[in-house]
Amino acid sequence: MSEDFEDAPGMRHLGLSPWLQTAWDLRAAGNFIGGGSGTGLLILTSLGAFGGLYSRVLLIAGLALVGLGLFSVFLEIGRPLRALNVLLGGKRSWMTREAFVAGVLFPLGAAALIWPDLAKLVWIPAVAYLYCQARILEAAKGIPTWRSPLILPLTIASGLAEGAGALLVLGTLVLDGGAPEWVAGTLVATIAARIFVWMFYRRRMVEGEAPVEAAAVLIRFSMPFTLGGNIIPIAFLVIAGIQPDIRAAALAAAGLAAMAGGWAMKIVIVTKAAQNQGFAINHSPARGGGTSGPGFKPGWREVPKDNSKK
Amino acid sequence: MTKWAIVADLGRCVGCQTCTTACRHANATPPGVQYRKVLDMEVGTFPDVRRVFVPVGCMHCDEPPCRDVCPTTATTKRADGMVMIDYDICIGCGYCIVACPYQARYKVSKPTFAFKDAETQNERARYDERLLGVAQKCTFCVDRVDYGLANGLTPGVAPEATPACVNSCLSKALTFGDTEDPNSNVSKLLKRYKSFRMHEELGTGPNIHYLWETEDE
Repeated sequence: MSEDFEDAPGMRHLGLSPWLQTAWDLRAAGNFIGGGSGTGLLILTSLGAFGGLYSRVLLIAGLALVGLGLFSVFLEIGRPLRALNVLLGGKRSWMTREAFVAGVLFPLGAAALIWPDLAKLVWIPAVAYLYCQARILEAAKGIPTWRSPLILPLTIASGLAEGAGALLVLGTLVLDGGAPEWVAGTLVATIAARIFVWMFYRRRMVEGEAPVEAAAVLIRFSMPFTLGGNIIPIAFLVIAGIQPDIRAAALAAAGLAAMAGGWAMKIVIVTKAAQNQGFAINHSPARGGGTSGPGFKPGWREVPKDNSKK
Repeated sequence: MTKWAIVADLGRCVGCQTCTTACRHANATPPGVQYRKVLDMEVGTFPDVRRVFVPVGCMHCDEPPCRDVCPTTATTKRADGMVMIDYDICIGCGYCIVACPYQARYKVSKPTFAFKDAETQNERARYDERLLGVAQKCTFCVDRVDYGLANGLTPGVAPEATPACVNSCLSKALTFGDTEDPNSNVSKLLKRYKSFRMHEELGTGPNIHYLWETEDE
């Protein structure tokens, strides 16, 4: 049984087993990509301001990435003219809180373009924005690969790695002498954190916290992600260290690879490994004079525990 | 206090889908949207195989994840436990759809009808443009319940005050009532027989209870 309904992306149904959600597509992933990379870049640029780093291009790029992410998700909503209603749910919704934080981040970022000292404050709303994005995914209880507590450190580590990557790329292009030395070290640290969390996350999903189909997607993605998004950037950094002639290009390549890895990870988690919960019963019923039977949880590795009432 | 719930007797349900049809008629839902549907499960391995029919839909959870994520407060929970959507506030962001572990929510962006462009009389009469581009789901037939309460009827007992799916169930597998009332039809069933709730481990507190062993000992 497989049906796709035109103009009704949330209604695809593939039977009993968990099926891939289609309510959030690449446009939603775009919000996590732009928001993660943008805030990562703003956090590092802002913290770098304590050491004398100041560049309007970096600030504008960070704000533009966050803005593009918000615009991307704006394209997905069904009633765009009511978009400001998103501000009403601050009591519970992390999506509203993200919007509130954006209301601080953009004016502060814009002010920092005029008064450089304010750049030292931009990291505060940027961190808050990145945290809200992580909590948005975690609060989606219907998607097992999103609701994992590990999605929090994974999203945050990836945002910082993407930001460090962006800083390396842009630093090569717009800063005299390229990005500061500490950016490469930051990239190594954040990539290490990301791959470390990824390994735990992937293991937990594969061991039964996610539907079989979602776990299979993560397994298939794991090797290219580990190599392309994490090991290759490190390799480029090593090359940059031992080959001064191509240092700038190697640093930029490392940054690009780290960013691409994070973006690919978000696309996979949001749009590919996003099978829903599916359905399950704890017991089969007794019919007539028969006896009751076992439970059933199609599409998962394990039958749920018996939590019936006595 | 009142807490409305449905009790579904899995031993009685024969999978006739009459509840699905009644719901679709009552709400004029477009193709692909089924507030109430009955899953057809084949459980076990040969030769010990059995077929189980499981009515599902919005569980009107005690702690609804859909409400918690809603950025607009369009999704709310009434004092009587019903989870509702304000179609005039919802922006159709789809967050509640991915937050619901029961796959109970839908979003339709264009008018669609059972027979392509030719809407039926019922579809025409019940068409509501407010539902386009926003989230929609089972309401426990809130209009019928509220009408019944306003007129001194007991929801779950008087058909006029009972959800369409429950009214239509030909095997009496579905029962609607107040679980906070110890003398209600649903409370008596839950007290007498063994039951479980779907995905209870997620902490949502779903309010569709499934009876799985109804033989008196």
